[in-house]
Amino acid sequence: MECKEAYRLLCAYVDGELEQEKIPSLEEHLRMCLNCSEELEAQKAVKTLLREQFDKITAPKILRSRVIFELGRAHEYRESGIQMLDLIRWGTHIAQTYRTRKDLIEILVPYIGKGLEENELCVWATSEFLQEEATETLRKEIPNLQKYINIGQLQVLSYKDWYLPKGYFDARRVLDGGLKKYQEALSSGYSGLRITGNSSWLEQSDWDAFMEFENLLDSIIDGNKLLIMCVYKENECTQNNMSDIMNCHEYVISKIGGLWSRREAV
Amino acid sequence: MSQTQSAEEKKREFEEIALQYMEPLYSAALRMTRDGTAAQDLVQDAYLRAYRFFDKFEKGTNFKAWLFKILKNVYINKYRKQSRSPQMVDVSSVEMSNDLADAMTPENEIFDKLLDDDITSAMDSLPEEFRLAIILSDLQNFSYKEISEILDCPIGTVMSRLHRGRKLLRISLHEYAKKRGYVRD
Repeated sequence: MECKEAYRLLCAYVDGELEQEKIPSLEEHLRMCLNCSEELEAQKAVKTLLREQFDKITAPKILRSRVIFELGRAHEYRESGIQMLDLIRWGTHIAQTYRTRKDLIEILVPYIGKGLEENELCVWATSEFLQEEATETLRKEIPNLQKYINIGQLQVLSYKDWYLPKGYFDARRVLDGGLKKYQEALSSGYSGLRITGNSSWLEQSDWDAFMEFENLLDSIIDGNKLLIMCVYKENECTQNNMSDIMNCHEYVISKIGGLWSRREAV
Repeated sequence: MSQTQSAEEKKREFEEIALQYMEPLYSAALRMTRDGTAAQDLVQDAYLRAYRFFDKFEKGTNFKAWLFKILKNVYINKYRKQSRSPQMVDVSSVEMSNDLADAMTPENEIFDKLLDDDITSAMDSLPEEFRLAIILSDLQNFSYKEISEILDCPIGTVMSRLHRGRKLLRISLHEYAKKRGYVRD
């Protein structure tokens, strides 16, 4: 056996994975060749080193009770449809920030699609898209969309109807509208309510009132079968606006350097 | 049997089978995320995901490998993109030849002297695909076949990732040894 061939087989040999029939000729070569037998010892040494180094690691004691606790409320977890969130609990308040329509729907479509699959009442209060555009956008991606529309499981609303029913923004009124929708979801037999609302209509003059509304949402969402994703257009937000958004949501999802990333509230 | 009882039984059965793997899962999660808090979150997420799919687990097949596949998937989907970037390594420099080994001081002599932090840093700076293969093989003792199933790649790819990964690791460990003055250039 040539050194080149022996070298190629060493990794599997060290791992105990080399086919039986190849072992005798390799071992014979190792007896003759100092270089290759040193290489064998080196490879074994790396394996041993790693095992000794990382076998010492133990999981924090708290982890076991934490996992058991979460398994006990596993039924509260939902498929978010958003890759970097994976499973989220009822009562999760998320924000998405976006620059382009493409970015917006990359997150929003799977979020709604999963809600429909999971038998949730899904509401999209749209502002970036007109209602028909929004529906058509979903139709391209979600099979049997019309079925969900017909039975009322998917409701695409204009931001005006959702946020400004009286022509101006009134946090209490929007909240009441949301709670009514929540009751509708439960009484119609859905597992809960999944909402996404786009706030690109928002003027800076309404910002503080809107943040109060967000904080209110944050205080009522816990313990309810509700998922809320608030959507903000980045180029309409100031630096301060962005930190406000961070403060009143559990997760903020944004595209950074072309990749979606998740930031968690402290 | 009521639904609550059966849910309770499912949970008990799952805990009995699954919780015994918490240590190896955490150890692997820590080397994947390179961060203690993220590793705990990852293990918790993997358990929740596994519990959700528990009905789909084929009894009698390899539960540990099944759990690790879930761990790997949750890591890739949820944790990878936001982890800090790995130190860049020029993978093309890792040839399948043994020229490099010839010039090196025997590993046994220097490994004893290296600090734990050096070994951890060398491991953590490996490119992800090599690191995952090494975690599963050297830290978790999975067979090539199991690793190929967990990582969704052919056995030949597993072998090449292990080979290249260990080579890179040795280069990196030698760099640390050199820096500490245990070996000369």
